[in-house]
Amino acid sequence: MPVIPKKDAKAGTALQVGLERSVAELYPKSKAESFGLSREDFAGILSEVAAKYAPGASAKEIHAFCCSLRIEELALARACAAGHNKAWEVFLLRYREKLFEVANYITRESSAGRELADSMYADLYGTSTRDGQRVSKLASYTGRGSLEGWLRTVMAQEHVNRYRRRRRLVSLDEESEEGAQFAAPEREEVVAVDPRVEAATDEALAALPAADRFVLAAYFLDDRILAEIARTLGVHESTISRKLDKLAKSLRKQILANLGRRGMSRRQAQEAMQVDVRDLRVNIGKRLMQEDAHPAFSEKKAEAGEEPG
Amino acid sequence: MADVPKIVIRRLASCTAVPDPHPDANLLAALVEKSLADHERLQVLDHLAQCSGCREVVALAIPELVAADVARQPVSTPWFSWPVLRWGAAIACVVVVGAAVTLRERELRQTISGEGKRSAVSAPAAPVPQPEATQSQGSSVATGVELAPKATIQAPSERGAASREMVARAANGAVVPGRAKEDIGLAESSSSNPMMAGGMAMSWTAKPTTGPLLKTRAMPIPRWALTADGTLQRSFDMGRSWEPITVSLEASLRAVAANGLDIWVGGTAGALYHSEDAGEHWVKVQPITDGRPLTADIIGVEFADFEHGRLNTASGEVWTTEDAGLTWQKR
Repeated sequence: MPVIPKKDAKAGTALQVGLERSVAELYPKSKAESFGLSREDFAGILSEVAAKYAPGASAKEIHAFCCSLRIEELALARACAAGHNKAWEVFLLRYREKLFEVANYITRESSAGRELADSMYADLYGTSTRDGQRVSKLASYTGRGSLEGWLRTVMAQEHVNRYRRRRRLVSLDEESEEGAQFAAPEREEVVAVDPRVEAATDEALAALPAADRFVLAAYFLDDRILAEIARTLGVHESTISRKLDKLAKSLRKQILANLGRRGMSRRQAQEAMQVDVRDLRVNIGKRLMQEDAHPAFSEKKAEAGEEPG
Repeated sequence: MADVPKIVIRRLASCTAVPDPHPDANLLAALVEKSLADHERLQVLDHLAQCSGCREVVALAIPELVAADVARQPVSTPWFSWPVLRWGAAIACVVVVGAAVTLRERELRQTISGEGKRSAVSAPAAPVPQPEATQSQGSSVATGVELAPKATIQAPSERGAASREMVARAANGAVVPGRAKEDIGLAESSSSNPMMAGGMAMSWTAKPTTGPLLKTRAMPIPRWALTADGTLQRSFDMGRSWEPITVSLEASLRAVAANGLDIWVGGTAGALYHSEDAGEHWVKVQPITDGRPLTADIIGVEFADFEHGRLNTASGEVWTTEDAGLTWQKR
């Protein structure tokens, strides 16, 4: 008989205790029974989600975590994944039209949107099988956010992956016939940047909170507008505007300070920054060509034959 | 807005080492809906800061704001901010110069017409400096077209950020956010219309407008009051008259804090709303910490400045923010 380490046994007990309480409290609220899920099924779902996101948590923490989930949507999604018809009726009533709306919004074109929505619907229903079992994408929904938000994100992932796959497969002959001209590769000017400036900048960026770095990347690298960034973070647009303003000033100041610590005088540091600003030609587009090195989430999982999302 | 040094953009772009694994759709959706615990949120944001692919997915997944529910005005700044004062001084100079030139011209014309009558020969009027050039330049400023200090915040101008925003929004027919200077014929909406981005609580209350959205005068700072039944009221005339402001149909408001045009109101069941334009438009804010939202009745709101705020609840909780509501801590 395998010896279960004390720590794992303790964690397992906490999980059990936390789950028992959560199931007792949340099963009625989730309407899981009406969707066709038994209490045991529901407990299994909660156990899986809690183990994934709250490993090693105390019983109280597990209970609090379970209470923070979208219980009803989780029960609905998992009941659909299990093939319960009643759940599908409810799902279609609530989300069928939304699927097409979201697909049209993402693709900006009705035919592509319809295709994306149909494909998504098939994946949600589970037209593929594994080991004789129907595989539905809904089985990967964990209730951390709303089901609608999850559907949007999964569709966005699928759209991005399709777009990248299509780009790779486009024939050069076809492009030439369509009139695409392929310019000679631009010679990137080699700008002699003082390595101390790069190091000082990297240090200043590393010291920023993750949210600030995200705002900078989204605004300057992705050309996102303030409203989009604000909605991602759940704040007012002008909060982002002020943040960018503040970051611009603080980064400059911090880089100068970092250069000072690297042996530059104030004047040298300012000149080094000015030279860089004047002569720099940034090829953002080239820098952003990361997909060859780092395929997106769904592609990686798809390549590995796993269920994405 | 001060420009970000280009070396910063270059170093941001050069960071291609994306940490694995990519967050799954559950985490990305939960991030937008503020359902993540603080440490999870930091991890996801850290990943997003380095992974353009995941950023692209998140950007596509955010629902579009419904045009009819949103009134877009230029993002306001406090009227006493330095750019406004600077332009105000320039406007005043142009107006004074224009007035002086106009008066001078009138005097000259009167003098010439008087001389013409005496000599009985009508001489052509001496060319006088036409003030139109300066005046037209001045008038375009003098009518109070807000030169949108925030438009400069949209700089670097070489990036065409403002035009980028216009194009980005015009392409999908949605309302141009933040930079619209023309009337977009908004439908009147007396109720807040929650835009649920899969649970993300953001509500925009459209203010009926009948004319251009151009601001024709600097917005005065109003006074605020709460009635016994939880209605917010605003006065622009030092309290002589009050107008009710509809913020929420569901919550009864209990506390208000104002910093110039920046207003925060809190009420029952954790209702918290924020306006940056003296109550013209409101955003519902949901404070969340460790994945748990604020649900208690808010009975006290204090904001020392735009960023640092504190909420007191009926259950004795104290919630603070240091970044204008972007993140919250519970004590």
